[in-house]
Amino acid sequence: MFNTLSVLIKLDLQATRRWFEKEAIWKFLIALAFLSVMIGVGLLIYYFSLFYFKYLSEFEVYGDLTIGYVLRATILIIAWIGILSSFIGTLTFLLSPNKVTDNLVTLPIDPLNIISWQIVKTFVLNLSLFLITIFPLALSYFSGRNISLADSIFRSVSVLLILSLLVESLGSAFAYIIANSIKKKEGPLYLFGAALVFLLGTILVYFIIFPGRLDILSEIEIENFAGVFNNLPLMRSCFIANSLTGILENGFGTHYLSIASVTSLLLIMSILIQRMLFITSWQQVRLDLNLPKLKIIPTKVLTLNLIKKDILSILRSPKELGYGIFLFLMLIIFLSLFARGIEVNRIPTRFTSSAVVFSWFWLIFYSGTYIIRLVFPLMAREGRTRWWLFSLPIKTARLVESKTLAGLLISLPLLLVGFIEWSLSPIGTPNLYLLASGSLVIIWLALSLTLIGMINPDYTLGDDPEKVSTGFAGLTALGIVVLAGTALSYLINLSAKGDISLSDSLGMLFIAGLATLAPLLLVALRSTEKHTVEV
Amino acid sequence: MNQLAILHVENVSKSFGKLHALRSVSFDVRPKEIYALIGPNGSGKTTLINNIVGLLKPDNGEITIAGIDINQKPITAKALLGYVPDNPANYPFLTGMEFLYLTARLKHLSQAEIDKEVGRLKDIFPIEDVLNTPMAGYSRGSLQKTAFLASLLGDPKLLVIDEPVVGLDPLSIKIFGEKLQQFSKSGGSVFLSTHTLTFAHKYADRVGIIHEGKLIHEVGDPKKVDLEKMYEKEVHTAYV
Repeated sequence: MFNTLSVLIKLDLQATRRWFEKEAIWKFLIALAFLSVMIGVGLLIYYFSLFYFKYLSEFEVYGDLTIGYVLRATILIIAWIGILSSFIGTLTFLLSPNKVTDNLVTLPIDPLNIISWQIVKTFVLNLSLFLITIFPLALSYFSGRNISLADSIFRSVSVLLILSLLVESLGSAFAYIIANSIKKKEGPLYLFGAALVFLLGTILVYFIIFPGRLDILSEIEIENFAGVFNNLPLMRSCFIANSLTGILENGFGTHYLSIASVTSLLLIMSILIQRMLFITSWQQVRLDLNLPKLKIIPTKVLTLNLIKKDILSILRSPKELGYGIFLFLMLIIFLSLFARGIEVNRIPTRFTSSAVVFSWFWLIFYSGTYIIRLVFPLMAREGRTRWWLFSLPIKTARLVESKTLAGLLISLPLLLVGFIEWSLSPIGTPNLYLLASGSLVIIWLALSLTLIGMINPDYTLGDDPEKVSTGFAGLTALGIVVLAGTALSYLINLSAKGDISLSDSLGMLFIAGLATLAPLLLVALRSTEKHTVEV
Repeated sequence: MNQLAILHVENVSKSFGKLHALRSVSFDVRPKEIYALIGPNGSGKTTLINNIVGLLKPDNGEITIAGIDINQKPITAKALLGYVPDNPANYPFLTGMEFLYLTARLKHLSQAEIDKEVGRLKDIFPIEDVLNTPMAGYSRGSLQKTAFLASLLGDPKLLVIDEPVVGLDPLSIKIFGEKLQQFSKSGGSVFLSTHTLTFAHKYADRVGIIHEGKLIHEVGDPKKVDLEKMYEKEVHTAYV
């Protein structure tokens, strides 16, 4: 079994190596930039939590308990996001036929190999997510405590590994059960059922972390504090987040062995379920899924028809829709919990501008990721259908116009996230200003990234938009998002501190947006004109 | 230039780096004519077609459709065209019927015209049930038929078809050929490339042989000659 698995893993490594062969220096630089972004995010979390934990440790009993609570809450949130990520990753894999897996299925190999191959890939992805979120948080927790560096790393890595395996086991098994249950007629029911489970789960996570009792904690006597605190839902020992925090707090012990045993058991059960259901799930892909159909309503407006086509290309593709829902939910979960966290902890004034900038940057970063994944490849996705699109009697300007507007429409749900974020957030700076600035930047990102995606689209990757987003052009676009996000966060920081007026700040955003969009539009028009005749 | 020509190709050359894909190719396709281009793999058939439909721009030469230069006035020229590529990959998330409606809309047809045309076209091949399913599950033949139906929308004056019968069953090939003949009788012209000599022999009014980017021979009435022998002879001579 391990021979086949190692061949499959080598296949992925080979593909990565091949990717670096062309334009190696640029790709290396982009990969380096991407790595720097990840390290930057990790450092941001590290320093933010370090300052916050130091501030909390000024209050003896209350401070330590609150730090423990923050750790548990973060692990629970990240675990929930991880389960969601594994579920959607596996479900989209099962619902989107691909030739590589087709070929593997026809070969005389145990499905266990294919499953393990997928598990390894999702495990690595989850691990990298946890490495930039939980790892810096854990390190900032250990800072100033009497724990050796080796022990700190051992405890943190243990938590990362257990958590990665745990979320992978739960998310993937659930995805297999759903994919296998999708039958022609009941298909939408199962999908909506799964979405409902995750929505209810998210609400449950919210109330576990922020129960009503949390608000009265500041009003009760200090001697009763620990008693009430330890009875909060998140502190109950049955929660895995509690056991994992136990590893961080106490290191190796019985709780370590018990959570490791539970994880191993869940992993074995998950693999057995996946092995049992893999072939039938894969065969299921070939059936015509009775997913909700959205009719193209014929309209006289040419552009509107092209926009509808592009929107349908997302709504009717399980993979694209899955990614969209995942990123959207992740953004909502993260920002709403963060905003509520600030409110519950009654963040001190000196942290207000940092909290504003932190949540503002995350909103832009996640929005950028969503747009790069779904909107940026809109032109490249025409790869195999250029023959049709470019042989139609339509002006190039129409094509550019339709793609840009489609990109904007697909990005509109992000404005809703901004609205939720700033409505819930109790932080000092006027929320209306944050809503306006956030919306302006999201609209700018949607328009500019759609246009950048049209400048030099890689049509050869049209069948796999994920590769367009993670390819050379996609990573360059991500670099632009990070640069723009950093520069704009600085501007927001100045506004939050009152160094520049809010109207001036909005004016600057507006003018900078227009000044960058105009040349991008011209270049995209020229480039598309060139592509329509130089295929 | 032949004023009567629907498709006029004059001294068209196209190179990709050091590869000369087309070398001064000239020919006309007249009204009501089916012109078949035959030639070995890599001889330049698809490159020529891509130049004709505006997907490539020739390095030299001129291509006009009903007197309109495809590179000077692409929108007007493309409105006169119907095109079916060699491998008509399509939007997997749309049904065939949705694709036909979308194409008709983008060819500026009114709602009444769309209903009438789609209603007429969907009966050409017995694939109405298939047309109502997403194209993700289509066989190559079904994709080919759907693309062919789409090319007929909007009353084109010229059909340009790359390898029309690859992937089609014998009955569909017959329907396809007859439909092309019917189209040409009603005033349209067809320019197609094919490897299937029997198809060219049976349905084409004229045949051109292309080899290494050059049009080496034209046959006035392929029904009167042994096309297979002539093809072998011409290509062999060109090789030598």
